[in-house]
Amino acid sequence: MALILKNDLYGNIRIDSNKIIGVMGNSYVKFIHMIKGNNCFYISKIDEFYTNKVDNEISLYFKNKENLKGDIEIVLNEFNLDNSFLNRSINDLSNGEKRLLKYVLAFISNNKIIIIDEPYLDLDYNFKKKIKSLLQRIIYETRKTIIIGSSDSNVIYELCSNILLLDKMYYYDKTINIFSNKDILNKYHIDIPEIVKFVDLMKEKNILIDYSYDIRDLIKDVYKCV
Amino acid sequence: MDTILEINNLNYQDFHNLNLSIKKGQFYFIVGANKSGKTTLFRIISSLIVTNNVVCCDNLYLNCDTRKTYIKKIGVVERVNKYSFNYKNVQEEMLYPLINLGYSTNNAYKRIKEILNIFNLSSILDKRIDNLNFKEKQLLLIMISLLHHPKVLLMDNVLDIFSVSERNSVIVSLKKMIKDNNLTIVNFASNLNNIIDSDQIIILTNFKIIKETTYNEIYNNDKLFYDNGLEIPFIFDLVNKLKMYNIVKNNYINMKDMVDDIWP
Repeated sequence: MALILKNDLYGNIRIDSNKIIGVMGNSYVKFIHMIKGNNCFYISKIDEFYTNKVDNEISLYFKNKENLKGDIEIVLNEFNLDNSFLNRSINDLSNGEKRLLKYVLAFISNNKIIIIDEPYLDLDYNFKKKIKSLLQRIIYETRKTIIIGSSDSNVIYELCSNILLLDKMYYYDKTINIFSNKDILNKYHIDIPEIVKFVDLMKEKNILIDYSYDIRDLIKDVYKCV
Repeated sequence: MDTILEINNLNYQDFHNLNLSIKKGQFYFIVGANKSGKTTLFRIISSLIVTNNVVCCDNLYLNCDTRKTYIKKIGVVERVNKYSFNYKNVQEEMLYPLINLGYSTNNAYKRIKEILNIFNLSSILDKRIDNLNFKEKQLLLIMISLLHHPKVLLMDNVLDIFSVSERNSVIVSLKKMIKDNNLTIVNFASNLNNIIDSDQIIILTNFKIIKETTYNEIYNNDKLFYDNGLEIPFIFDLVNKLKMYNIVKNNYINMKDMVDDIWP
């Protein structure tokens, strides 16, 4: 079932649901602000909290949710946080901890669509791996749609199956079709992901290998070509 | 090289006897995983948490009495939030801090234009802050923190909201200020993006300094970084893995050079 996003700037945009969709381009932030709202849970890159304590913030969003305590415990476990996190003052949280709180809120929400602006912002390597794995689980287990906005091509390449490019017009396609198309990337001022750049440099030497998503697969292909 | 910033025997929360010395005119990256103590250390050095004669910048020890003078020696940049700005337009936001420091209006405008030129952002001077996009607002905060000629610029995770090419452009401007003004920059980050632009890396884990090193360490000892929750950048990872297969022998920071050497 396609997701139809209606907005004044672009008209109707049909994008695939139950997927992780990347949104890039000069207008991506404007687009995200337009579509967040009904049935979307939005993780912004700005600190936006309405209370001063973690447990109050969670209660504010999910006061009447069934099995809230159980859901919170599951998510805290995933992030190696214990219940003491719930008693912390939000002002005392580091940037990374504030970000994790937003993910906790997103994962226990019932919203069909989760919008994340810069998913890896302020998160270290270990948390990035957890977030990646959790996002994929959400898609598989809950059939939600995740929309990720980012300026970082490497992040979008890693996480998203499809990309929506936005500037004065929009362009929607599979991730690899977009990142292997230099004309499109130039038109929308998008950086090439590092791993794609390396394969492109090999192609310039007439060494033809497929685009990989994992550096280990890339190394195996390079080894065969040397 | 002279020391511009020092911490002597810091004992605060989970910091025990922490010592740190930052040399003038260098670009430092203080990196660490989440909960490593970066934000607390940033707040201590930037005087958001005031300690007693433990932090010294440009020969001035920070305490309650010296705080007002101390903060003139540093520039502090955090991530944009809803409380970041005091005025409605860019001109006022940049002008009034300088006027409050005793600059004449003429000299203030001269300094504002100088900074805007360095960052190629003269176009925003006449804009309302509401009309700036998020990245322009972040750049504005960086520029404001540099207006008063600080000796040290402290940045807490501000570069990650930019794309790779945008970040490179910001760093070019910052490096120009290091070169022209002998500015020292300390960038706190939870990743190693743009680590090749650093002069020194300080790795923080569990409120302790594990190592002070340079980015060349990543070629020799990537495990050090992974063990401390830091993902190494693609080019370093690629070089290290290709070395394991004897496909390359040298270290590279430029991908094209490496490809040209492998397939001449």
